[in-house]
Amino acid sequence: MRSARTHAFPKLGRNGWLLLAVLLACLAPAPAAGAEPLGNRPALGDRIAPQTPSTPELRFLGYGRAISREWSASRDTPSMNMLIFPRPAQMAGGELSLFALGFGSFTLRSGFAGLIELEVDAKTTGVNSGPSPSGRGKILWRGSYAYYSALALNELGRLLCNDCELELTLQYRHESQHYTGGNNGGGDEDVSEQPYVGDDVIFDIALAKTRRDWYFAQRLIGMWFLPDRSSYAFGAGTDLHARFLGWSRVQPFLSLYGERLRGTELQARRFPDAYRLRALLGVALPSWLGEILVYAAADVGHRHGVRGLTEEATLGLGVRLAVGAGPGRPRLVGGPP
Amino acid sequence: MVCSCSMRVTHLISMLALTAAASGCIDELGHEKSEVGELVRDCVVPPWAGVEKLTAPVSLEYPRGSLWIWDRLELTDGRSSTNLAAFVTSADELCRRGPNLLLDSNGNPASLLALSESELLENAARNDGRSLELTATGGFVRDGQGYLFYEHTLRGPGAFDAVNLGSGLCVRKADEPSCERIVVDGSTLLWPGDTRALNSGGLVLSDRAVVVGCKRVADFLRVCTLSGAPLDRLSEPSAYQFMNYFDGWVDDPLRASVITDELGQVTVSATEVGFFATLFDLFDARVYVRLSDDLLSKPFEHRVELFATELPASGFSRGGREHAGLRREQRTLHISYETDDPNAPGLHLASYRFLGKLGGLYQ
Repeated sequence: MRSARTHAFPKLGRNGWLLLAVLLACLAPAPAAGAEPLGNRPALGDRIAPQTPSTPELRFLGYGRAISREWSASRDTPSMNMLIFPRPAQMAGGELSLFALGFGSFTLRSGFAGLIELEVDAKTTGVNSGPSPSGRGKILWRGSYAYYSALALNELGRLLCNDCELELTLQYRHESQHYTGGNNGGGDEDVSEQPYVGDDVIFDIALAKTRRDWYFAQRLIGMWFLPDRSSYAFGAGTDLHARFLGWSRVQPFLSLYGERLRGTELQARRFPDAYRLRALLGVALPSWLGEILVYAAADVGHRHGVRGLTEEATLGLGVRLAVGAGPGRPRLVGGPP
Repeated sequence: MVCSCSMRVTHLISMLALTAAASGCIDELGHEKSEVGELVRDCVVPPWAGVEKLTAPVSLEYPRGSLWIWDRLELTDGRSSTNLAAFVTSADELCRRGPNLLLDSNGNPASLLALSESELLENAARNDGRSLELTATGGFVRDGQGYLFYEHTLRGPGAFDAVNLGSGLCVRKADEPSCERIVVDGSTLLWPGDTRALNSGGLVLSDRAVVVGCKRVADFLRVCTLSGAPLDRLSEPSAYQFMNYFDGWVDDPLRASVITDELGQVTVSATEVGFFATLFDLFDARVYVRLSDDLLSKPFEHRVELFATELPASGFSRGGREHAGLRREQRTLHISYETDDPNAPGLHLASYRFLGKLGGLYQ
């Protein structure tokens, strides 16, 4: 009979020790002289005030990044989103840092992003009780979660220009897709032929700049999908955002997003490449917490989820509740008023 | 200033409203496919010298080759011959040189399935424009012996007039150019009338031979069931029972379980991990497979598309048998079909290779 091996210490494995080290690192820093008293710390402060390198500051639960991606035109942006046209689609999602460590010249954030999206596979034709837009079609699901770390290079950003911000982000992301069968007893749908996003590692570099009444941000994205875990091999994308800050209450914006993914084999099925281009034109209504984005959308390329092999062009309309550090709240340090 | 700002906001809202009015537009640009493999060959099979053109064959699948059988071939001298056969051992060779017909002792193409002397005399004595024909429909191979099922068809007087009198069984010993028709109680009509469908080939599973039969039961509905007999009673018509998923082998044909329903050709074969039903769709001329983990307990699942064949000018393709005897490795299927597509008319052999382990279909 085989006996279980015993260990003097709990066997954590490599990932376990790594997690423990991160946890200890989070807990270790004591409030240093000059640091903001705990009681006055904002719950959702996105920007940690510059500190001297010897006094790193720790904050729990804050905005996801120094340069938000809540304005992104990508359908993968984790946020509270409702697409009214062309198809009804509701997304619950967000990105928040679990902790942030400020070192003056740079700030490290690490956190979680997740979303779940329900999209009706038909044009919007009416309004449900709720109210929410509705259509007659199957409900397609997408779910995603990601663990990420973002490094805001505060000093390097300032070296580039006075109002520049620079941030590097690395995330590990998983996405899966599903659909809900009809109530009329129709047969199951075979979705095994559809691409599967699966697991990937995403690196991006973001640069933001405020110039007079305008805010510009750009993000370059590289994606590497884990072998045998996705129907894509790698991909690249870019995010662009321009916003007029001249009005404090209503800020017109334009967001552009494009990505191209290289298809590969998954479970001995070969998948084609995919591309997506999307533009949002709308207005942002900023608040201390985030902003409401009301936008018109135009896109061309492959659909998401279990319709990923279909290529189409659409015009639509949507509303997004974006929680995060936005250009409408530059240099935000404080929390709720 | 406040007024100016309000006007701008009003303009913005107007623009958004206009966009909303224009939104809701979906223009589908295309639909791509993911593939479980690739078509590695689709050749026109050259006809044997002396044969005008090859039509779609039925077949018996041997471990190291495939016996192709043509119910009728037009010869270059204007005559026609029935139930000629060729033993094909290599797909490459078939595409290069065509099939070599089985020859009799005189060196002439042999009829694998021949009418008896008395049947020939009866045909000659008829004056109603009809004649008896034997039409091979496929079968299985056991210990080197081929068991070929065939139909007795009374054909004529019109080109499309045909009455199926019933099915028979013919046994071909190894390397013989013809097979021996089984006679029971003085008749080769072992399963009279339209009672038994044994027309889509078969295979041997442990202690039984299993035969696939497909039968039209309504408009656009053709169901396929399994018949089977113990290996030691293959020549006994009464030994062939029907498979019922719940009760096993039963005698009542109305209790047979439906393994699949297809209008086109269905070929069932064993793979290293399960069973394939290779399908040839009459209407779109595409080849599909359906899968079953266990042929005797589960129907075939949903279709998985493999490839499209040359679309026929007449609207319908013929044939579509999969030839397991030509597989030299498990991942490649060989399918014969006939098309009158003007660019490549004739009999084709298409070879489709799965990616990975049978395209991951069993993962």
